[in-house]
Amino acid sequence: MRPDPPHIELRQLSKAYESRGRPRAVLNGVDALIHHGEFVVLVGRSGSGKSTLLNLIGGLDRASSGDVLVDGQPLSELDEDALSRLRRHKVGYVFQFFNLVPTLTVEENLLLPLELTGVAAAEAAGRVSEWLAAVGLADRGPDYPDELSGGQQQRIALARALVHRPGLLLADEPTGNLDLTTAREVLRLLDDLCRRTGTTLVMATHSPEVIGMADRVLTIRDGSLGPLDEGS
Amino acid sequence: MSRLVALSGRRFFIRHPWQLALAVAGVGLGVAVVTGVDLAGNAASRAFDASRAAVAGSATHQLVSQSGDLADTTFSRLKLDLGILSAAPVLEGRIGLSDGRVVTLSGIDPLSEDAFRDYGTALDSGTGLRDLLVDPAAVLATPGLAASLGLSLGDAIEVEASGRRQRLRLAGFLTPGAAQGPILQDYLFADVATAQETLGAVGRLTRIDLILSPAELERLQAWLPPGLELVSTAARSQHMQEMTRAFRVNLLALSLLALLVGAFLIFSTMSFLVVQRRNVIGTLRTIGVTRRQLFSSVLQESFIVGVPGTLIGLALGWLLGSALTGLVVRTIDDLYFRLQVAGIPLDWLALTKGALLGLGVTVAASLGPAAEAAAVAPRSVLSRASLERRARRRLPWLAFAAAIVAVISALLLSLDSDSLAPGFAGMFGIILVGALLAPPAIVLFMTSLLRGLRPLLDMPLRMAIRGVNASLSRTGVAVSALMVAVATVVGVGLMVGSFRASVDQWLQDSLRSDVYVSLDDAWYAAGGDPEALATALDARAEVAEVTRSVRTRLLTDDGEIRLWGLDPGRGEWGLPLISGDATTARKAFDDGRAVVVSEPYARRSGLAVGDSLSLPSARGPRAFPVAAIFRDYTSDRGVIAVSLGVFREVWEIDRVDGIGLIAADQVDPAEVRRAADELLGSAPGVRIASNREIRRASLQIFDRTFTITRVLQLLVGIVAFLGILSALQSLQMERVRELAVLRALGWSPGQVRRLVLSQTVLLGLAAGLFAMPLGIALAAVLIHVINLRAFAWTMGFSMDAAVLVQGMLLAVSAAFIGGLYPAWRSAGRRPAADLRDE
Repeated sequence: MRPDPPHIELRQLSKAYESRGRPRAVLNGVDALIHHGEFVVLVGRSGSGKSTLLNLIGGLDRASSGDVLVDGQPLSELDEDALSRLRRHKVGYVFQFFNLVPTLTVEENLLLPLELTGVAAAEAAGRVSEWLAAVGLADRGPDYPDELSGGQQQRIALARALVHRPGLLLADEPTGNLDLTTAREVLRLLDDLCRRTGTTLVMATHSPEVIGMADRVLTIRDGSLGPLDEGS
Repeated sequence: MSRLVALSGRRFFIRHPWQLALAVAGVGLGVAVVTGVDLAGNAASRAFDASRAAVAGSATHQLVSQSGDLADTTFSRLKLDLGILSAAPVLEGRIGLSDGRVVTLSGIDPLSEDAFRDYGTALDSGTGLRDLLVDPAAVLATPGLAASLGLSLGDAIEVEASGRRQRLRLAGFLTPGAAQGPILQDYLFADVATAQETLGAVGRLTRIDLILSPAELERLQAWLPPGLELVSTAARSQHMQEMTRAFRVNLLALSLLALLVGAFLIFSTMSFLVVQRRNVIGTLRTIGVTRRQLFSSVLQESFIVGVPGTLIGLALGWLLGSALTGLVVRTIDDLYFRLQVAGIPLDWLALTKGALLGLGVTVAASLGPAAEAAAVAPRSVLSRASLERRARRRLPWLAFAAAIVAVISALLLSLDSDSLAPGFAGMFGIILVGALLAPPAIVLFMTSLLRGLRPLLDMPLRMAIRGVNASLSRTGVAVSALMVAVATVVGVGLMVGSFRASVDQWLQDSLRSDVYVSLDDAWYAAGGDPEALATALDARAEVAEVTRSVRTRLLTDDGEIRLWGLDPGRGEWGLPLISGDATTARKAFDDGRAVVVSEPYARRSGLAVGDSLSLPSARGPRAFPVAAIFRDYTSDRGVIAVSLGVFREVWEIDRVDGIGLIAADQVDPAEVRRAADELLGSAPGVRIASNREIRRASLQIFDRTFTITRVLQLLVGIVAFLGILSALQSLQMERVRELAVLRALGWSPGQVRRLVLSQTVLLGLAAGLFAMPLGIALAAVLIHVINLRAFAWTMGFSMDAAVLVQGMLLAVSAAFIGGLYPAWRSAGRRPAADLRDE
């Protein structure tokens, strides 16, 4: 039993989508607690609801019923602007397809969350340099994302997700678009950076390698969340 | 507003310069058309003011006669009997110069002129003034006119006036101000006695200009005998401005239509920018950019298009204004009154209006896409499928919105009002209905095409058709924009064609005689007798019958009325009736018991058959019942026709302006013309023209009048072309990955090219097809609502297939040309690179 309050709490969380005029349940009354600094991996078949769950935790989507609490704050009580502020300050995202802003340089991509959170320019510049070095791309700041390889882009995406010290990092198949070697490197970096900064990491993945690195593995099946079992 | 979010938007344009250039060009052309038309209209309006100031000077009133000329003894009565101090007699007439030019000879009293007009130094300097008074042939001219005739001070000027060659002498130069210079370029000034002698109007005046105190005004009104009219110059000026109002309003409507098409293109461009960057927008939302920040970012980006577009538009508008001014002035000259324009002045108001309109429309057109970008949940923004799902889900709502706008537009168009504003609002509403219905129509069209032609379609064609529906979020906007532009071109084309056909039919109905003889002042000055001429012509074996007509203008408090005196002979009277019984009306007209009025006059005055109208005459007001209403396109202010007998009796004008000759049975009209030529020889002031020549000349004037409309139509076409080019480029360039997959699957570059081109042509075809009903509806509104309210005349609707074919060709060729570059680019790219890219 952990004494501290949970970082994320899922309460009877359900989500259904309309498909051909009929609701199709993806998550069905999910309950879970995720603690500060924990590395939780979500596994499940394609379409099982992993990305949906990440989107709900990050306030990118609204639950059909139930709620997500981040640091005790129910997301259902927040309007769109408040959800934006929550993401801006407390959440970092890493996607399978990197999603860097192609019209901003690498440096500017990292500056973007800092500018949004109001970090002073001098401090922001320092942090960007620090994070570029941390992901091993100190000399690529002036380049545009399309001048980098896939692995390099994902490292920058990782740096961008953490540069504003969010406390919670949501990663959706972050290695799904990378070769095995690069994927390993990115995973190690991700794990290392999150543990070093005490960031909670929730990752949806198919990669079996991650399972060994995680503190906890949760399986989504038939809309429910449970511990890892052989069927996953 | 985040600096980096804004920077990212700006860089998007830097990376897509063609897209930016096309959008900027779309705004620029829209603004250019509105500003150009505005500048040209204002230049004409100012020229009119300057002309009025140059001719009427500081006069507060003018004394004129209902029957045309005033006796010059009236002037001395005003001065001596009524004690009116500021009065200046004027006699004006047209004279021919040796180079074929016709100018106005203005006879003035130099001693009375000082308070009225400023001609520069000529009248003050002594020599010019003295010469005018002592030399019976002395005239003054502007240095410009003298130079163009190669004249120096003291040189003789050969002129053709009152049917004979005469010699005048250049006694001095006028040095008018910059505004009046171009107008006076058309004038020679002489002492009134010299002008009377030269013009063969001894003892006559055209008018007496007056500057009246309230007491003098009262005295003069009490004295005013029947047949004389005291007209306020301000009111007259306002009436003349009013005459051209409908014409200028129509031009403004066309230019606004061009801007509306521009707005659709901006909307389409900004929508593309939003959907193209949905991933970036989604990413920004996940990072924590708020909806408000995104909204203002997209709006700010609209300024990247709007500011340069507006600046370019203003510069182009200035050039266009200079070119259009000539056309506007020529049309006013053809339709209303003589006008001279030196150039377009720096008109800050028109430029500011253009700038505000350009920026306003750009921002307004971007509001939708900006709201779209801000409103979507971040998860959905990231998903292309959800975007298309939403576009499809919106279809019933679009149809519903179209139905509501259609009802509102129908209400606005059916309002029983003379105001143009609801008409324009209704017309723009109809365009909006078309734009809203375009996406559902695309789905229906493509689905039916796929079902109906399935056995004939190969894989690339099937994919092309499905692709249009699958990318509805983009194809809907592209087709809407092209459709609106093409519909505008078709609508205006059909309206002009219908108008031309109606005028042609009206000319056929009106011009009953085979040959027309017109007689002007020169013929009368040479002692011509119209009745003797008519009798002599009637006596010729080639002539079955003669008709006679005379025209004058009556000044009333409501402005100028055109009055025709007609003796239509025994046959058809050449007045195509639209209301009233032809037999009864003709009888009442011939008996002098009633008048017939033109359609615009009836509409503007609210008159119907059986109503009575009062006309000013030499013996006071005379009331006439209205026997019929006839179709007429000569004046949008209206015409009243009375029998020649009544005209002569009531208005005491014995002249005849035109004699029509109807050929006897089996006689070729050419022989009638020869007979007239033989009889009249080379008599001065006579013009003989055949029915066909008059028709041709009238239609030439018509076509000249609509040159400006066709220029605007062409500009709309260019805006449309730029728009579709921009939309198709965006649409196809976005699909590089999808096309790369096809290449990877084994498609040849040729197949990819065919896919891209067939899809863009399909879009053009859809836009062209949808534009047809919309264009026809627009034409109907222009004909039955806008023109009716502006000019008060009705016209038939003639469906010109050539206009429809032209519209279709415009749509398909614009789409085809728009697809060429993307097809070439897509087929020539290396699939590996595109597959690797996101």
